[in-house]
Amino acid sequence: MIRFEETTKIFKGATRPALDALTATIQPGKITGVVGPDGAGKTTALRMIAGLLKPTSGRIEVFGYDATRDTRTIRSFLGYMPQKFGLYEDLSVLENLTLYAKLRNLPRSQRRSQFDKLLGFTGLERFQNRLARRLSGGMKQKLGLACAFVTTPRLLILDEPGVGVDPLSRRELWRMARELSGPETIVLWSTSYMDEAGLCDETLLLNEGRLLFAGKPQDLSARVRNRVFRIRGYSALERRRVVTNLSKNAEVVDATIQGDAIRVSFRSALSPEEVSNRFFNGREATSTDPCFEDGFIDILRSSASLRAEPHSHAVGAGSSSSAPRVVVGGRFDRDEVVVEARKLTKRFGAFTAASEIEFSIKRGEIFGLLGPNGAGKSTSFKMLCGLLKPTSGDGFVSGASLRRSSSEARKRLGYMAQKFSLYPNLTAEQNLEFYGGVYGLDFRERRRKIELALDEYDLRRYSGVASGSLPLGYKQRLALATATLHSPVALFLDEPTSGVDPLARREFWRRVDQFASEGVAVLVTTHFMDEAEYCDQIALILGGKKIAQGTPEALKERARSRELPNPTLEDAFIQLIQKGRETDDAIA
Amino acid sequence: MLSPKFERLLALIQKEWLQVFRDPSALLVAFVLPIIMLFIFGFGLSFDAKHVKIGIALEDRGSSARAFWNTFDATEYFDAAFYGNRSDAEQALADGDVRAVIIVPNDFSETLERGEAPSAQALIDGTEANLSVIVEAYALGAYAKFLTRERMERGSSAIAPAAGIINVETQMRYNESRMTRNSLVPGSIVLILAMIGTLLTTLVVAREWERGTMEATLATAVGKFEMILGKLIPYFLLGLGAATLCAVVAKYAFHVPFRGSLTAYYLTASVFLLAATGQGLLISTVCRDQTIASSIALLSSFLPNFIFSGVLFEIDAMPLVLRALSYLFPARYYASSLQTIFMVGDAWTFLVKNMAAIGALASILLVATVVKTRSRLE
Amino acid sequence: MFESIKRVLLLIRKELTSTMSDPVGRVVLFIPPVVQFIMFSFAISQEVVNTRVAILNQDVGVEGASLMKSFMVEPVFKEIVNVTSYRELDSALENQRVIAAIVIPQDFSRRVHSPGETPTIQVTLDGRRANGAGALGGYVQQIAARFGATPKIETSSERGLIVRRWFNPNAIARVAFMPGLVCIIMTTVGMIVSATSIARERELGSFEQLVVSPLSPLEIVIGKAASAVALATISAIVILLLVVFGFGTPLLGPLWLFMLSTALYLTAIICVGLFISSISTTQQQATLGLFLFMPPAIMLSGFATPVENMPEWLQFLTIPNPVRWELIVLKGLLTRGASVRSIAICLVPLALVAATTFSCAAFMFKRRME
Repeated sequence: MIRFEETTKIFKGATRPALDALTATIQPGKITGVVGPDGAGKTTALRMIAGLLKPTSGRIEVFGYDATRDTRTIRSFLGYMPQKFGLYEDLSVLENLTLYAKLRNLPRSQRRSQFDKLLGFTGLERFQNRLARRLSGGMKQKLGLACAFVTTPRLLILDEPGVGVDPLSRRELWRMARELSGPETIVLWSTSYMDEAGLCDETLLLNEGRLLFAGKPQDLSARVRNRVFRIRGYSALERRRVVTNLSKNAEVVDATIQGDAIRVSFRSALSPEEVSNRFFNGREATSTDPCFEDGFIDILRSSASLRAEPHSHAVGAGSSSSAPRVVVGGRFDRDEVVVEARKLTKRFGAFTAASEIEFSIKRGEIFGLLGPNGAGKSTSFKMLCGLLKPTSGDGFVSGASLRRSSSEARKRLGYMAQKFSLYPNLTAEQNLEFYGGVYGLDFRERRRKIELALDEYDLRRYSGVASGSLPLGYKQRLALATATLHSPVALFLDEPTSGVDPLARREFWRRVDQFASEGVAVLVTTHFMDEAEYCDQIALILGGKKIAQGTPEALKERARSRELPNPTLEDAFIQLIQKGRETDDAIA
Repeated sequence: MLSPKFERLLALIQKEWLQVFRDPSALLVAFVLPIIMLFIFGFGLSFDAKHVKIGIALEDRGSSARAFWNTFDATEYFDAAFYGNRSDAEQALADGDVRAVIIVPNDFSETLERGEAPSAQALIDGTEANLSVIVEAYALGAYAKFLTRERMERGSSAIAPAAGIINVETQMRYNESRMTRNSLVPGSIVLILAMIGTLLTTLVVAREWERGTMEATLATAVGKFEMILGKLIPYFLLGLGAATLCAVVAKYAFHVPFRGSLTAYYLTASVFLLAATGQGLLISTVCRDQTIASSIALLSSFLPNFIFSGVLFEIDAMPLVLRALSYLFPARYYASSLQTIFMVGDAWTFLVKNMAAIGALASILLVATVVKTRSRLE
Repeated sequence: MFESIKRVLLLIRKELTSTMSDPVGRVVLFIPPVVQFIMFSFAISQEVVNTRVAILNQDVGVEGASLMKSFMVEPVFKEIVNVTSYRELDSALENQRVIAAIVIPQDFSRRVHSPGETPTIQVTLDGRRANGAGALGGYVQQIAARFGATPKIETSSERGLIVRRWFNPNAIARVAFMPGLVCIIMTTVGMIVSATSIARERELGSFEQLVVSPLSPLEIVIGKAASAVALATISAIVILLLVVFGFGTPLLGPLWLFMLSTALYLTAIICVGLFISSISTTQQQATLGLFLFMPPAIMLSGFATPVENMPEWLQFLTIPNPVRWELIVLKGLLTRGASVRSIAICLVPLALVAATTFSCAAFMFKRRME
């Protein structure tokens, strides 16, 4: 059992605590999720349990030992996997395992059997002698987990093991964690993916160092029972408009597009009829099961409305000035193709990372590029935004070839990387100035647009602040503002909302929707299934080839079966990939 | 059956070995840098002023003047070029084409015929400080030689000595062949071992933090001393390996004499490596920003060892503060010990004194490392 | 074309603002020059002063004692250790208590006074001290020559080889080192500004954003190089002012020649930096790469020991070393007042090297982007 008692951690030079008077108990025999957006204090809490950090005040007790005093004892039964897996890149799979086995003093006689078991479990036995740096992201993660499990620890700490891992690998990680942990083991699994939280037995939900919720994930979802509905019967364009309007409604907690439906959660419990009549002109509303994220948003919204001035800037959507402007449906030709991939192929030596990838994105369309790690999804994405040169084939952005007139093509697209990628020591305005100029906006137009953007994204309050020290949510706004300053016809987003809290994510997607409704073609690559849900079209990449394409609904339809009458997009994804692998094997 | 502690330590050392031989940047520091250093110090740097280009402006065309020119040209120290007049020669000096100009005035032969010592002028480029001193001495020597020969040819008293010439017999002890390489190559070993001990250690620790392996290792039962020894021992041994390589290259490729014993060589190298590795470990323990740590290591392993070893630069010429500071750097003691072992032999009194100084510095660094090391992230 | 120039100018402006608004950037720009300035002008010296010398005087006559006296007044020696036996002399040498030992033999006085005989002294130098020993030997020879030149017996004075030292009559080490100092400071600033720049952007992630913008690889390299050259030129001008007004060393050649050679040199060096930067993924690698290039380039330039002392094949290999040429230019301009023609010749190799390194940097950069 682990007990936090009023545990607070304030880092040197920080203004607010990284962890604020946390009191909680964690029971053995269960997987406990430590859930929250980036900067919530997850890693700090985990590191304090492992004795890697000392609490500023309060204490932590681990199986009766004090985490500060009895560090050595605790570490003798601890399995720990840090964020970057803690693998030695220059050692082979087996050498990594051996090293951790020795460091944890696993008797020599038990090593072989333990290794065989772990290697079998992870499917790494074929790669025993491969250097860790040559493993794919998913394999590294599995190896990291195996290293943490090498002595069957009583306490297992996994710091964001699911980060950057596709749903398929993530599922395998969960299976491993469940099956390898003993009946008395404490497993701590931190994550910023809300859908992962739903898989845990128990959760601690943290936000900005504070504990928002502790308990079973179902209990959090239960908060919003009978308040979540799906409404069908709107066209794609209408859906966006409706969602935008709903998000301004005081009775609505949250509204998102999910496939061909709108998903809404309300402040109070309502009947489907009431919802249908009061809000949707009699369109059919069905009550659906709330999920973990609905509960989280509900807590955030109620606490945000309690606080007059939200001093937490990561929870940004609260203030009205930052709400996206509403311009409904500009007029444009919906059939005009903006982005086109024509037989895009990339080879690295003998290895074909992407092979004859083809798709096209029309104006106003949000297009998702999905696929497991190392499948060629990022390669295709990078080729399309000009970061990689295709070996053969070509990509076009509104008719300009990336191969022949690359600069012309790049002028027409806006790009936002997963990591904050503007100049951290320049202010928001200086960044906008630079990129506005580089994209050829003349002085007056540039000034006008920058002024607009500073208001629109509420960045004025940080004028003069180096953008590297902006809060996460604002960094993301600035990145989007910069990517769209030159009114690109295509917007390329690389896992744009990983690690941000759900409110900021909602706000972000509303803005992206807005751009789409003005006729911008949007290309997204992501591991997040709920990001994928925003897309109009999804292409699935596997083994460097496109194996499926369709609307989220159509893909789900393909996965529908007797065992799975109501598949999620994740189910569809996993099924399609497994099927794809089987046919691959059959051909081989 | 090994004790658990010892087994963990062995595992750490073994891992470190595997890492070094598979990581290109470690290989670079451990093997490429030493070769570059040896190369530069062995071939690139030299204080041996031989075949210095000088210009001779012959205003006198008599045979004695020619003989005078020949005296300069004949020594291995000078390559003499001929200039018809003074101003051409002076311009060549200003343009850096020659290092010195000897001007032979038009009454040169005449004066000699009269039985007097003729005068001549030597203009020396003062911008190469030491070279100018050496060139001056060579020129004076060449002039003296010329006069002595003339005197002998014409009968000893035919020419009155121009100045009471004093013959200076110079012997370069420990380096009879006068190859500065013999002292520069041993001096470069200081830099090599310092870079392996300090820079490499800091780089590998920095990488462990970056990749999260340090965090993962800390979370195992590994203790503070195992952590320190796990880094110290492999790089200490690697340093000894490099020392061996350096000695072999110095002796067989650069033909530097090795007059001392291997015992003395390895003993001093060991003490120095303890200090260098201690320095590296201390830097990476105290400074957690790894980009900064590696920059500090780079600078602190190179600059002080470069300057305070006294191999290329004169410690005696530094201001008092710096001269005092130089006593705090092991390089000062190690460089002269190495040069002694190579060129003199086992001068134990000298070596033991120096080793004691390095040892004292090493223990300060290591104790500080032990005190500063925490098994936490902060 | 116009668009392209505008983009490059914007990039240059961004680079300059970014470096200036970054505290680390400012430190990198200003601390190394100051530190090096202090270090080189005071600490690093190959001058032979403050030395200790042992003298074994076996001559009982007047001349031996007077020769000793003339050694004692020399500023080169800090201390003269009187030894009485060869054993003592050997031990003083071996333990490095002295750098040289002088033996004045028994017959020294007698030989001085007998015409036709040349008096002899023996000097034993510590061969371990490569730099000091050679120079000290030279000094002893000069002192002996000067001692001999003071008339003892009837001689015609004003005769003999009259030595004059040009450009640096008092043999001040600082003057001799000055061009090297200016050169190294320029080199360090240029290399540091450029070598980490791309690697740093890669680490920050801002590189991708830059690459997907309409800026072409060539424009990026030009912008990066130009802004680095601008920054390094500023520091070069500051150093020049410091040298001219601080040390009172006038610029002996035309200013345009200084500026032109500096610009060419900095371009060459900075493109090497960009090349290193474009092949490294982290700043740490870039720093290491920088280190692999800079010390060899400086040491094989004639900075520490003259190029002409190197073996011939190595002298040949230093031809593409830009530091070597810039050092010749600076020595010509700052100390010797060389003719414009002789300096202008050095601009040819500098320009060739700059063109080559620029092409390499641009090529590597473009390749790494694909």
